[in-house]
Amino acid sequence: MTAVSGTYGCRLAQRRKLELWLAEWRAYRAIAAVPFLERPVTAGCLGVNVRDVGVDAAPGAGQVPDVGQVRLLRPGCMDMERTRPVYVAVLRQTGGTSWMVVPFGRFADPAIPGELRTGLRALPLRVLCVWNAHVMTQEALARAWLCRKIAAGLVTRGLTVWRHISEGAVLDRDLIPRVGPPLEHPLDPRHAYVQEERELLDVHIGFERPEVVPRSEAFYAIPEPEFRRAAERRGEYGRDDGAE
Amino acid sequence: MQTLANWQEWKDRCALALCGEDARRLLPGFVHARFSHFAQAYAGTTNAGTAFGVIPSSSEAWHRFETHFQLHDSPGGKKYKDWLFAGMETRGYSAQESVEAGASLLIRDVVREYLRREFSNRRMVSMSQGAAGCSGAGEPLSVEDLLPGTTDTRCTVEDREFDAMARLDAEGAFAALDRRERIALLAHAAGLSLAHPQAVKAAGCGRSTLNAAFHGALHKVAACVRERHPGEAASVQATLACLMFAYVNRLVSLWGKSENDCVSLCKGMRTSA
Repeated sequence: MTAVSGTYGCRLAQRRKLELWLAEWRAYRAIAAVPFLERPVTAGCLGVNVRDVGVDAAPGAGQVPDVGQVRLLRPGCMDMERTRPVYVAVLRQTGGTSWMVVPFGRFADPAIPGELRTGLRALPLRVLCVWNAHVMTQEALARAWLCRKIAAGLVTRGLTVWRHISEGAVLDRDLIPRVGPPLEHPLDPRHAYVQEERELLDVHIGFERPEVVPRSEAFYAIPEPEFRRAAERRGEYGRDDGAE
Repeated sequence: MQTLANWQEWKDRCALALCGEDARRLLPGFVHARFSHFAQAYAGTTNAGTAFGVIPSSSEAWHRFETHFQLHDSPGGKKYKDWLFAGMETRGYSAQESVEAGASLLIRDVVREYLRREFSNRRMVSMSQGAAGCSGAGEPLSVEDLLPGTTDTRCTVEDREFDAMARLDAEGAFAALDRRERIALLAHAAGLSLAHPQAVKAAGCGRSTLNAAFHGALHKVAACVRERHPGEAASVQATLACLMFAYVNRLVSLWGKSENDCVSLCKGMRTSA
């Protein structure tokens, strides 16, 4: 618990951030509960077939994927109630023809430590959900619409957060205010949010993740029992019960 | 009533102002109607109080719709229009219905952002107000419960006892979880969606059932604290629940490593147990 407090700033700031995020979540849930069509959705599924209405079937063909690009994924075949336009940032090349992409979030505030406030003005690009990184092939990326580029600094910050959640690297001090609060309580609604967002990306991109997946410590403040035992092996005052 | 040709014209001409009279009249009407529909669902919880006075004019609603997903002014920044049209020919929908269903999806986000910016009660909410979507023993949990106080469990004897209690409770909670619930927690901690083929295969059920098992597991863990420590203050229960949940996740990952069906789920997980 202490380590988490230190890593993600003071508790008051964390609570403030969480309250802002929860306000959006409440609105999202309330609005999502309203039928969005006049008639009930049964087999609603945004398909990928395109009629001749001026939509380029391979919009990114000829535009080689590159680090820093922001691309809009084509609609995935998914329950319409839960889908949305998904913008992703290309953070690095993971292989000859594969790239690590990270989606931008739905909300204005970061939800968990793996989410980074970008500072960008465009509403769909306010939060980078680094924890939800996926691997995309060059071919799949070429089917996504190229929209703009983000600054190299933001790419670096995104990769720093990735290293933090996947490898346990220390988070830069200046990034602490820009990431979300830790996820600790079992009844926290962010668990549902995490699952919803993971599934959205899995449907759009596939199941392949970058090599190191976010470890559970990124979400849960797991105590370190080894350290605890080392610190606790005292026994009665004046006696060392660890002695042979 | 608007037609597909109106939507197509809007897409081709880049902005509504450049469209013919029909499109300029009909499309904002559609967006305004959907905007009002969604705003009424949430307006009551904002500072506005009721939907009356919350809903903007037709032209303002359209402007917000047209700019919300726009990244910048050039055509590259308006690719969301291609997204709308790429969803055509969907199962069970005509082309026009598909475009309008997509537009309705976008309008939901537009309305949420509009209410957040214009009528937010975010600066007036108490830290102890209930957090949506979570409750314990019928009472909504507060933000304070979700992020309990700065308990350094290594500081004092009492705190170490507190930690030991959570560890002991975790064993009981873990024992109460059935196989499916453990797999759901394991997949979640491993960074996988519950629709992931490995998770679905290991659990031997569909993703909906696995989702239900996941939420069931979370509630079981939380309920365990309430059952074992009914007399404790809510803040103590919250701290215990967080500590215990971390231990349960550790136990689940250890369990997963010993189960043949679950080993693939544990790949990439780095727990120091």
